[in-house]
Amino acid sequence: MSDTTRKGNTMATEHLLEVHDLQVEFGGEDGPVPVLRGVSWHVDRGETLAILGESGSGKSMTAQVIMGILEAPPARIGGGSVRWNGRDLLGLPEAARREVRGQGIGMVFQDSLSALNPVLRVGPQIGETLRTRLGLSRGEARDRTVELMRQVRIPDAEQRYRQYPHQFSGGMRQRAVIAMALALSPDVLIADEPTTALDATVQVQILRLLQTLQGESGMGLVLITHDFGAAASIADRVAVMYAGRVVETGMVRDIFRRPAHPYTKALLDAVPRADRRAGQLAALPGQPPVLGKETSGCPFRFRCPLAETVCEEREPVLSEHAQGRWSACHLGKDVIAGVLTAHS
Amino acid sequence: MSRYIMSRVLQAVLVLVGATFVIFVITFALPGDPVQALAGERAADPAFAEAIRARYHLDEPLLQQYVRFLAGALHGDLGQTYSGQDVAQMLGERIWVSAQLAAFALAFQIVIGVGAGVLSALRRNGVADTGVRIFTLAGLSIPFFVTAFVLQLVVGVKFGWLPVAGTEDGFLSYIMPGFVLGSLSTAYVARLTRGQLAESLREDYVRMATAKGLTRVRVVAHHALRNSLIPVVTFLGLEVGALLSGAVITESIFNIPGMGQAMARAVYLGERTTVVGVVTVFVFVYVVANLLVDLLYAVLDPRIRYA
Ligand SMILES: Nc1ncnc2c1ncn2[C@@H]1O[C@H](COP(=O)(O)OP(=O)(O)OP(=O)(O)O)[C@@H](O)[C@H]1O
Ligand code: SF4
Ligand SMILES: [Mg+2]
Repeated sequence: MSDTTRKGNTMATEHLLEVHDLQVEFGGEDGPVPVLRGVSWHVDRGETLAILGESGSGKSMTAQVIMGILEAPPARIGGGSVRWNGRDLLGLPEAARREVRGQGIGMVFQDSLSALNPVLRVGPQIGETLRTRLGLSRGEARDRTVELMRQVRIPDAEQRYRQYPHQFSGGMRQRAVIAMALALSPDVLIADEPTTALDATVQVQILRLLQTLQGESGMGLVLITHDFGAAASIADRVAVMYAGRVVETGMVRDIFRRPAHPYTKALLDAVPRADRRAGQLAALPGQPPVLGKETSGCPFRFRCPLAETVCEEREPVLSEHAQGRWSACHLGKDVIAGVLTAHS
Repeated sequence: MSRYIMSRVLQAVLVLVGATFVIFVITFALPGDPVQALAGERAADPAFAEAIRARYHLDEPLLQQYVRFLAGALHGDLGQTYSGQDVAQMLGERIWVSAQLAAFALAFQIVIGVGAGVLSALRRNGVADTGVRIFTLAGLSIPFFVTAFVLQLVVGVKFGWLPVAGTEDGFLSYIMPGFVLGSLSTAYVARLTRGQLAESLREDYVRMATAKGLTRVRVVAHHALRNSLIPVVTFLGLEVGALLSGAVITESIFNIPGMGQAMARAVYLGERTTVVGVVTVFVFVYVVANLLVDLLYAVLDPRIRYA
């Protein structure tokens, strides 16, 4: 995708999928615990957005809200919007949302083993919606499913069609889940850590597959991942989440060259340069903040090498520090400039 | 798969032989002399006693008697009562009565138990769920003979909707005793179903089924329920055995001429052949039901089938 198109998209009011100021909380013992505190991002047709962030930052939660599969209660959507082709999904009745699932937005779950029903054959599971939603006959659905299985490079698709999930290897299961999510050719595919449970070579294959499939269909792809290398290799843009918020977003190469948030920088530094592609996020020193405690100031300040007085006083909002460089940091400009220690 | 079936059948045969042997030993170790019991109050005439002993092989060592019994049982011969009635023939008539009763009880458990369980899992903490909880608590805590008497009194005597006892009214006669016999486990089935389904609904593959755009009904019926019902089916299979022992009391309360009633009478009269005969049939049914459950399990869960 060229830069001009990208600019065109930013200017357009309607994105393919846009999450705006999303807030979700859980009813805890001592009052509600916020887990999403105003998440905003968007993705356009033919574009790949990688969502990065350590465990518990709210990546999967965002995906569940978009799909409308959040268990509520105990969860509660406190505000914000999810717009798909300009339509606000959160206000829609269940029947209308169901129409969007699978056909508008598809989702690949975090764990491929548990995302397949263990007592049903893989093929019919993949093609189930072809029958229920598109009304294809058994034979038509079967043919189309085998085709889908070939498309995601499952070898011997015809034999595999009749097998059960436990007869598939990890990589093959993940391909099956991807095929299932793509059955109705969605406009957007949300892949929640599609490679986590797989070994390194298979991870690369799955990422390549997603990239190829996206290229063929022109869908928008949201790749949720821990893996900076994965993000770097296939994403156009990145949104970095921390403690239920997007703390930095921008073009992948800008962020890689000069991050605009100390958290992003710490993540990048934690990945050994030499094999950054395959590297997982190494643990950062310190703990993510315990949400629910009355938070004021920047949630990253306890782990931030640049933290100043202002960081304790006000929580920074996502703002543009340089052309296309958005981050939620009071010192965003300094971070981009490479200032590495506190002023005071 | 066929090896799995083979080994399960072999196991079943072993259980059957072992269990009948234990029953045999226990019944024949019970106090009381059957000859004396037959003779009643008077002292038995030695010649008569001798004849009876010879006829029923009472003087033979236990093991020999057991082998004799086993050989007979293989040919469908369970011996004779002391009054000369053929036990197998008598039970052959009664077993259908008991089977009908058990079928009613199972039907109640499946329809009401599974139905209530599904309802309350789908509407957790709603009105239906609370209702089902109270109903199951009652079902689990009220002894079933109490339920039986109350129903007989209210539904049978006061309103006359259903026959109080006996089997003269055919189909209708079995409704109340069937319900009573099934009531305890109906409550349990409801709880089990609710728990299993609630758990399944949280599984990733069920959420995935929702996420790919299926209707709620399809998600529940096709994806969640099927897995949830595996333990329920197991329970119901084992329940067949429990229904038989429950029948001993239920059939007596409702005066139903089934196996249970025969058993109760035989124990009371010291009819050892009948007791052994009934228990043998019970164990046989139990073992076969277990076997069927195991096979059904393999049908429902491919992970077992292909293991
Ligand atoms: N049922 C729940 N009750 C309370 N809090 C919950 C519940 N489910 C999730 N959370 C919290 O919501 C937050 C976000 O979880 P989420 O699964 O979105 O994280 P994530 O970014 O996807 O992490 P990971 O990388 O481990 O998948 C976490 O802090 C988690 O503790
Ligand atoms: S606002 Fe302050 S504490 Fe927060 S990331 Fe920026 S410099 Fe660090
Ligand atoms: Mg997650």
